Parts: sequence; C-alpha cells; structure tokens
Amino acid sequence: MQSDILGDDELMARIRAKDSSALELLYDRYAATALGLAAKITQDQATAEEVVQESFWRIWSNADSYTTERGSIANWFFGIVRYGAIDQWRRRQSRPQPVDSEDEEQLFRNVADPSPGVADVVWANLTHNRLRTAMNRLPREQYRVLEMAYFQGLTRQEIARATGEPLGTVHTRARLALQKMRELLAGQGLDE
Amino acid sequence: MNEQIRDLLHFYALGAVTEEERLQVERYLAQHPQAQAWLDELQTSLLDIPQEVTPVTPSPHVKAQLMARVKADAQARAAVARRTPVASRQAGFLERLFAWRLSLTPAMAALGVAVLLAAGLLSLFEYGQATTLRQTLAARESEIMALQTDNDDLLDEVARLNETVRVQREQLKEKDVRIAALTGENAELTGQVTNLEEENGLWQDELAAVRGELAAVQSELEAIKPDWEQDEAIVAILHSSTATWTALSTPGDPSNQLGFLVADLASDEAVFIAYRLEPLQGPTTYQLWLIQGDQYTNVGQFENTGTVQLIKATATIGTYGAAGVSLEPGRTPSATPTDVKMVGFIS
Repeated sequence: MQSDILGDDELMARIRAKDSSALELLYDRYAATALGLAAKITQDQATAEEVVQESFWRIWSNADSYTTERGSIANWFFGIVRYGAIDQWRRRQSRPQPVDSEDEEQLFRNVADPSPGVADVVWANLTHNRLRTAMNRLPREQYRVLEMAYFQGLTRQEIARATGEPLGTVHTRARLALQKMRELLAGQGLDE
Repeated sequence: MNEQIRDLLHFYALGAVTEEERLQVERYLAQHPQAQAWLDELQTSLLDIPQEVTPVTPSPHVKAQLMARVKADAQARAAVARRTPVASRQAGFLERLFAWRLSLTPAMAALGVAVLLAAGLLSLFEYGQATTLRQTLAARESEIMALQTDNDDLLDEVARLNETVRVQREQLKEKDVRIAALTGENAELTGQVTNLEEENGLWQDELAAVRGELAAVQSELEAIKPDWEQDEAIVAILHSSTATWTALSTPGDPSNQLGFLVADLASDEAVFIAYRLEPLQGPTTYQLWLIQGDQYTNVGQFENTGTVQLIKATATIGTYGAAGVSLEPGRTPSATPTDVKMVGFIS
C-alpha cells in the first residue's frame, strides 16, 4: 500500500538513490500495464515479460537519465517499454503482420491483479476504460492505422503496403485519428 | 509548415518513420521551433495510449529475477562505496511510519483507508477538470501555433514574391535603360540614314547628270567618229612615206595646178585635195572621178572651192590611169563628166 502514498517523482528520487524498495513499488504500479503494452506489440508473453523486466532494469541502472523534460515518469517508462517491444517484434518478424484486436484478449489469461494498490488500480482502470472508450470511437480504419503505427512501429510505407491503401490515404487516416484522439481525450480530461 | 512535413510529423510522433525520415524531421525541427511546439502538443495526446491496453499481470519470476538483479547490483555498489546515509535515514523513517500504522486498531485503519479513497477520488475529479482546462488551453495554443506557422510560411512566401518582384523590376529597369539607349542609337542611325539618303539622292542626280553628259559626249563622239576616222586615215595617208602625189591641173594647162591626189597605189584609198576652184554658180556641184580607159567612176561630190576628201575606190588606185573633177549641173551625181575642171595622170 506504499504506492498509494508515494508519488512517482518521489519513487524516482529514491530509485536514483538506489533504493530497491522504490523500484519494487514502481514495478507493482506499472508492471501490468507495461506487460499489456509489450504483449500487445510482441504478441508473445514470454518476450513481453523479458521486455518489461529489461525496461525496469533500465530505470534502475539509468535513473539519472530521466528529466522532467521527458514528460511524466509513467510515459517515459512506457516509451522505453514500447520501443523495446517494437524492437523485439521487428527482430522476430520478416514481414508486417497487423494485430487482430478481436484475438488480442485471447492471448492472455492473466488479467491485472488489483493487489498492488487501491488508488493505482482505481486510476489505472479509470484511465484504461476512458482510453478504450475513446479509441473505440475512432473509425476502424483510422484506429487500424494508429494501432499499426503505435503498437507495431510500422512505417507509413509499411502500413500502406500491409493495408493495400495508397500512401495519401494512410496519411489522411493518421491525421484524422490523432486529431480525433486529441479531441476525445481532451473531452474526458485524459490528454495529459 | 508544408503538408508533407505535417504528414511526416504525425508518423514521427507515433514513432513510425524510417531512419532517413527521422533524420529529415529532426533537421527540420532544429530549424523550426514552431514545428517542434506543434509536435510536442501532438505527442501529448499520445502519452496515455499505453494505458489503453488491457493490463496483464506478469509471471512471478519476472519480478523475482528483476529484484535479484537489483539486489546484486545494490550490493556491488555498497561494496564499492559504503555511502548510504540519506537513503538509510529515509528508510528508517518509513519503517517507523509503517510501524506506527500497524499499531492502529483495525477500525481506525479501515476509516483511514476510506478517507484516503474519498480524498483520492476527489483529487481525481479535480485533476480531471484541471486536465480538461489545460487540454483546452493546449488545443488553443496548438491552433495558435499552427496559425503562426502558417502565417510564417505565408510571410516567407510574400518575402520570396517581393524579392522576385524586386528582381524583375530591376531587370525591367535595365531593359528600359537598354531600350532608351537603343532608341537613341536608332534615332541617330535613322538621321544618318536620312542624310545618306539625301546625299545619295544628290549623288544620284549628279550621276544622272554626268551620265547624261557622258551620253551626249558619246553621242557626239559617235557622230564625229566617221569624220575623225576619216581624218585619221587622211593623216595616215598624207604621212605615209610610200604615198604618191599626183598633181591635178586645168585640162590643157599643166602649170595651173588646182589640186592633188595622194595615194598608196597598192591600196584602194587615196586623199583628194582641191584648192583654187571657182565658186559654184546656181544649182551646180563638183564631182570627183577616177578614170580607167573610158570608164569613169564617181567617187564623191563637193561644193566648196577647196576640199580635202578621203576617196575609197572599188579597185586598187594603181589600176586607174587618171583622176579628175568636173562641174555638174544640179545636185544629183552624173554618170559621166559634164565639164572637166581639173585632171591628173596617176603614174
């Protein structure tokens, strides 16, 4: 329950001071979301767990590299997870294979355990639900471009090839998706 | 900011660009702060996307392995530099705090948790409202930034167009100067041409006059040419060293010479010279003859008391025996002499 008390900034300060318990608290707070993200990208739980562990290790060993200019700690951390997962996914793929969102839920049976902290779980669930709602309101084609770019790290040319759409169409869908995301999240107070 | 860069920035924000495109974007961002601000705002809207995914609890060994690595690392660091005063003091404080919490009764602990939850939810609500306001502000700033970027682009375009207009005006001025210079040269040349045409007209007139004079002289020359040629022939005969001079006298009176016949006897030409003849009376004429036996050949007529004539005979002069002049009535040549006034024998 300590994660309910200490903010991310405080935990980060303690991690810089090489307090392993702070890293453990941060792990409890973000590991499930990080694994969900990594697993969605890599489509492989074992690989995703390696990515998550390596990402936390980087926080521990490179804590000094974080500055507030990089945004919130959570977003900085998820950036590390995302790029690590994309890197792993690219190593395993010889050609782009877009994720089928409908099958995604079947991949994992271990849904997040709310035990790490009540406030963390409440906030995480609230955020997750609102983001899911926002993204579900995107047209499927726009969401697909956003998903392929963000979760699979495909370039615009690769997206065009994978979807069979002209490059200009991919541009338009990405622009509209981001614009709508911004509007939807702003409307829900989550775009921060 | 042009459309191509804006499209690229969307994918850059999503981390979905090639290495070459990434370098291209970063070069552009280094030179365009407005684009960097626009990108920052765009990325803000992507920050919470990771939390859209369904959370999945990692296997226990993930945390165990991580913490084992961390512990080993911490021990290694501690062995190298045994300096942990701040951390240890913080840890001691927390341990005391948690010990105090554990000493509370279950009811008070439950009440504390309830208060914390209420406070947390209230904070979340206020946090959401504040976030909405900040997001609205960020959206407005983004729009302003985009408008400023567009405005900058337009100002750049206007500046480029102004520069183009300035250059074209300079070129136009240079052309005007050249046209003025060429116009001046053209006027000067036109004046020169006019003068030359006038001079040419004068010269043409003069040339025409000279040609007229020349034609008159040539005509006159043509007119006198026979006389001149005849005079030339006469002079040639008179100066010839082989010419034979035959005296012509009144018939029966050889001492009364009235003229000569000068001829190269081997030719068919001769010069007849008469002087001291009596003036003609009435419509009469003197007629010149070459005589061969009883054959009289008319070789000319004259009306003066004296004359020098070139005679062209139909045969060699030497074949004739004599030459003479007769006085004939009328102006028409006679077939035979009527009144012989002088005669000489060609030898």
